[in-house]
Amino acid sequence: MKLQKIYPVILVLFAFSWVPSGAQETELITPRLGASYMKLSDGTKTINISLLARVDGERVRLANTDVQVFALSESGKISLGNVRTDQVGKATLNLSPDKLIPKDESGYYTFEILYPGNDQFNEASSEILVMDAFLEISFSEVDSVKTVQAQIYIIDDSGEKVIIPDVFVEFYIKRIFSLYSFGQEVTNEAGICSVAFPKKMPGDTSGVLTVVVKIVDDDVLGSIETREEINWGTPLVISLKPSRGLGDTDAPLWMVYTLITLLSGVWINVLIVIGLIIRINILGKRKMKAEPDTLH
Amino acid sequence: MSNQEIAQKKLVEIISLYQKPSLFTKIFFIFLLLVVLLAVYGVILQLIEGQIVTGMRDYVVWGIYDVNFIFFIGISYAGAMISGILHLLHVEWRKPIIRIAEMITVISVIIGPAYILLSMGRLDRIFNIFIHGRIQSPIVWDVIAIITYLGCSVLFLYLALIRDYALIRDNTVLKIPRWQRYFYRKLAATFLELPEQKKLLERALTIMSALIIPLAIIVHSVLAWIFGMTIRPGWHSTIFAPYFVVAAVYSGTAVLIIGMWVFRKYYHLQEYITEKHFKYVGTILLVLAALYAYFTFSEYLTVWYGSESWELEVIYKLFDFNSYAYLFFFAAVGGVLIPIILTGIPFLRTINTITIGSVVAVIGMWVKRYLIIIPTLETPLLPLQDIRPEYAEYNATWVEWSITAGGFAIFFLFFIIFIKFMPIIPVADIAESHVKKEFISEKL
Repeated sequence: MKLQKIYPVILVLFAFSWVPSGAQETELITPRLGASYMKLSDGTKTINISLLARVDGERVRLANTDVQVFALSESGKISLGNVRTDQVGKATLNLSPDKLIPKDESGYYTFEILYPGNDQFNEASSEILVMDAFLEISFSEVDSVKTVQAQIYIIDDSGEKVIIPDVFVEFYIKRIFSLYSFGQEVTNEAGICSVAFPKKMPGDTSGVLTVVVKIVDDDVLGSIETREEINWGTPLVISLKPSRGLGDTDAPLWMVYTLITLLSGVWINVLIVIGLIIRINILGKRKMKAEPDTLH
Repeated sequence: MSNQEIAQKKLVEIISLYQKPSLFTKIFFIFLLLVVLLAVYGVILQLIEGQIVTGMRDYVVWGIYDVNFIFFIGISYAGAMISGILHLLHVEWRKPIIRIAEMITVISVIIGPAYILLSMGRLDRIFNIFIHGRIQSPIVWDVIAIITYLGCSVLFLYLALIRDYALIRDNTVLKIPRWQRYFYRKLAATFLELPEQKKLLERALTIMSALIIPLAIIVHSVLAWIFGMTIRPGWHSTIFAPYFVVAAVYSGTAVLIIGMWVFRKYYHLQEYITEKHFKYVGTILLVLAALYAYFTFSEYLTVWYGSESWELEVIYKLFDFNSYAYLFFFAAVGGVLIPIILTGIPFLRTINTITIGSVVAVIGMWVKRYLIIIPTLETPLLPLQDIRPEYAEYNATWVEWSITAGGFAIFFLFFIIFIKFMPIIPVADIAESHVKKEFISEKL
């Protein structure tokens, strides 16, 4: 009897157990976490991160989102810091030259970039495996041919330089808005490559310009950039003679002269008139002095 | 009776006519003060809230303030041209009306530029124009020209007043406060009607008369070039400078006639300002109206015939009855034709009709300045898209109207105040003419 009463309850529970629970929940989106490594002239290492996702077919940049950066090694995982993405979903973590980052046995850094996820997005991670290399540039001039030379090497555990051949290197000169490319070369067995410096390249007033040498997205070395100044440019001559025109700071001379002439013409006449008034006054005073009863 | 005695008699006679203000003058004075107070409230509101209280927006950045500016600078021509030219030509009948013309000049040159300050978004940066102003800019030319013009106009008025101040200084009949008499003594520059003094004064007046005419032409040409040198439809025109000059003399002359009528009627100057003066100045108005009509026709015909699409856009707005056609026909046709008819047809030419023609001309010229500024600014080169209606079309707010009314009220107030301190009729000159006439009649 009692069992018969329980049957409908069991039936209802059974029926509800068939309702697919996932249909009520939203599906989590897996974002795409991009990361790249770059080493600058002063030894600063930067991890550049981008975080995007595809939502309803649209590419969305995840802004104001925290991303964690770790360094992995045999001994474990060390946190290098957290960064927050900007309005376009990008973030940069700068690691100063004196920051100790563990390497593996082969001399590689392994960076792990982790996005922990939230109610809408899944967790995402990315890994960078890169070697700590050095890019040095030097300048030489032989028979008026100027050459920029780049050398790439790493330093092993014993502190010895190990040269890196077959690396693609790009050579630029810094201009106001962008970089001017003047050559691309691959390093030889000695880890060196060189490119002739262009002639008549404008520099600053002393002829100084900035040479930029880059390795871009190398599989082993990542990106490295080195900048150095050299006075190989053509000195910029700033004309001390002001240019005069409608759009210039100084007015055309004919305009200045016309204005001065017109204003002088007017004000000289005004001064003459004021002079006449003064003379009228003096004449009156003389008369009054001679005949005090003139004025009532 | 000596010349001086006749002059003193005339002085007492003229000043007694308006020395004691009538009840109407007192009520009108209070009314003007109230209008000025409302304008002051508008100015304060604008200074606190900013230009948002006006109808000026991103496209129409100049509104009726600039219309008033051009209008007042225009009417300042009354003194400059009428008194300057008539003085140089030694026209005898000019004497009773010359002071009114000179006062119109000075007062309007004081009021006009104030409107430019009001149309500035950042008034606190006004000094930058003196510190960083570029000589290439017509705005800088305008500032220099107007300051010079104001200085010269004040000096011109003062020169014409010296003989009258000397008369008042020597007068013992009129009841004048001591402080006022002190200023008259100073301003009279010890003028004793000595032949040498008269010669020097005449020379000074001739210099200023000759100077004020080209100066007035330059001031209004510069004002026209602010528009003419801007590549916008309705503005970029080579005839804009002479067109502005003619329009200015036209409106200045019309205001002079209105002034003559007001002073004649309310200050009982019928004996001095006669029908003859109205007819003579009315004839000047007629010539100027014809000249102005010629310029207007020439300007619009050339632009319309050129068929440049951007220019045509403005022309079509002016001829569209849903847009500016009513104002355009009033200003360009009524504002010119009515004064021509009223001053041109002999049997219609009376004091009142000439004055009515002048009133129509003055209103027409104000509207004309509105039509020069607003439709052009409402027609930018890039099409107006996704903007609020108040940004596309200019409508003056009550703040702008109240400040405009305030400017006109100050114009009348200045007149009422000025004539308390300076005779509205050049007494010394009139007395001299009177003596000369009597001498000639005696001889005959």
